[in-house]
Amino acid sequence: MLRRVLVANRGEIACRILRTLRAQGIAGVAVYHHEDRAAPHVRLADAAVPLDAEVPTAAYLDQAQIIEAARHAGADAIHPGYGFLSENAAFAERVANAGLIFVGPDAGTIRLMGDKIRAREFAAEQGVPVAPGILEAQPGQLAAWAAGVGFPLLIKAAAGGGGKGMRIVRNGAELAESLRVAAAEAERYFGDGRVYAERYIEQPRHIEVQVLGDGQGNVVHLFERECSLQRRYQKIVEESPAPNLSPTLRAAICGAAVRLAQAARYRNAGTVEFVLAPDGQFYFLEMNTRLQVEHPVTEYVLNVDLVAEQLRIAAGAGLSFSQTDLAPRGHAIECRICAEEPEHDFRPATGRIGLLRVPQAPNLRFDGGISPGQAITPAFDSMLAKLVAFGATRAAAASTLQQGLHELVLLGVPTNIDYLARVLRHPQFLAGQLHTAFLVQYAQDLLPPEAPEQAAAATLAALLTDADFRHAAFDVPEPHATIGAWRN
Amino acid sequence: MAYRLQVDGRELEAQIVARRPELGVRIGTVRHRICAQHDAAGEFSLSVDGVGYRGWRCRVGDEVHVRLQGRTYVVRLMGHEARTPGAEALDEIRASMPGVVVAVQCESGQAVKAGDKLLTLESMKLQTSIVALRDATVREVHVTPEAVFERGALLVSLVPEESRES
Repeated sequence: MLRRVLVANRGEIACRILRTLRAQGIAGVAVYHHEDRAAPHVRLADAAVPLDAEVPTAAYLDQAQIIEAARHAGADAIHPGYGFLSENAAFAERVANAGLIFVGPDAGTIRLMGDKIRAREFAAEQGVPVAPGILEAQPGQLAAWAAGVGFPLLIKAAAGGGGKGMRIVRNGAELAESLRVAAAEAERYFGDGRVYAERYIEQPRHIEVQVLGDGQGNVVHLFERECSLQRRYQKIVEESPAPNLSPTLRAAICGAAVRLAQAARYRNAGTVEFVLAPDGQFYFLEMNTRLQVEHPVTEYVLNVDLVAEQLRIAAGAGLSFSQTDLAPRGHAIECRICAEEPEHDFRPATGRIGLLRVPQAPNLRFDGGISPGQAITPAFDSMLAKLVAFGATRAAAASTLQQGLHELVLLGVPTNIDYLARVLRHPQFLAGQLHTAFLVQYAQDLLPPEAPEQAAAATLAALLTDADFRHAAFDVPEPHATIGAWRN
Repeated sequence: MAYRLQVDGRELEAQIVARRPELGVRIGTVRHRICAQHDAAGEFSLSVDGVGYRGWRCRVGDEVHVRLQGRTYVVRLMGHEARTPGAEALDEIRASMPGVVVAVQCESGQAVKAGDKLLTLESMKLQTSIVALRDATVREVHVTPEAVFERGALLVSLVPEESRES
């Protein structure tokens, strides 16, 4: 068993991992940049090691410092969380070379799945469907292929992910310019300008499968998650199970994911992402070789702790259950609470957490890494926390989550909380009619409704915080403007 | 005094138009009655136009973030400015303490200028003059010379500004 684990992350996911470490009786070590010195993940850890860096994000990407911190703290393993170094093959290698356990797959698997072209080919070899596509190996090759396949097409970065470098091309006239822009973006984000194109599926759903592998070829799937509600290619509402998915299709998608992970002799928790077309065809998108942001919905419906499973696998103890042990019950929905302004094209917002009141209710889980007084700066991702609800039915989960959002008080920085509540109330959401363009299609419905009385009350509540206003309203005597003389 | 505000990006002006028996504040063109406000650690309760609200608020610089009925508003307080020197736009002039009317210097329907004397009162042996704080038309004088009044009594009412403007 592991005795001491360093968490190479911050925010909600660092807190999430530290909680499981504590529950398992494993000491948790945090790392932090100076700006995060009072952050919740630092306070939650048994020990914390400062990382030296000019730019805060650079601290959490500094491989040498993090490995040194793990050594210094006497850790036997490093959990990378998601983002930062979680899918960095070189880091996984360096951690192993330092005699430490990397809570994740081996570097070879990370490299394979990190290269979208190789991953596609690998998937196709295992009989996992991939959308027809081509790499721009030499100029003109892609255009010639496109002429045959037709439009629309989706241009992606070979090394990419997260929508960076991604472009939809609707006709031949746009192709050359889109390729140029996508390649430039890919070069900037990933240091690899290779791009490829595939058939763009209109109104697709994003369905992903959670898998766990022990690295010996034993793989189980933990069913699917629906992650179709996205803005700027970033998920904001996720759920499990996927609504309106036939048992046959569910079995086919989960089976494909297991096949892929087995062939890779996958070790760790991982997620195989698929695009599901309206006609029921599904295509491999990519595999994420780490814990996902949205993992709590799976934990709810299967009553498992995915971080605990990751730690168990990393320690060499294998999987704690077999496929037949896993039977989902009920429904779980998560929403990502971000510092952003939905009414202004979801632009990221900054500020300082002033008030935080988290609702406590059965079947409601708040995964956060924020505390009052904390500055929300542009240095890090805009996601502040996740609110997750469970219910016997999808409607019950949605209702609990709506109530949770209603009661959640997170003031001091603009957030998407109210927007998320409107999404959850939308009739098409409640009907489970989801696709990746949902938020664009229903943008008008999702605008805040006019509520003049409420707005007036809020305005007055705001005015009453103003000392001058209060003084004018309550302290000034009646307009006895001219004072006469005392009369005897 | 006019308070300039931005509510979710929309510019507005607010003005105190009455203090008693309830606080009256005009926001934009709509007049509201406010009472029963209570505040503890960011939580407040407030009655506006007879409707009770409970919520949370926190001030960040000149912004106040208000959470009310599951919705968050960002109100920016952009300062206040005096309309006319020392002026307060009050439609109802009430007594701040008990007293006696010494003299009445206006009558209903009369147009008055800011600064004009309306009444002379005596309270606690102190004589004071009530003056108009804005240009207005007197709607009604509610007291007569030598009348005794209680605290909060309505003395003079002015034709409200919004009806004058319309």
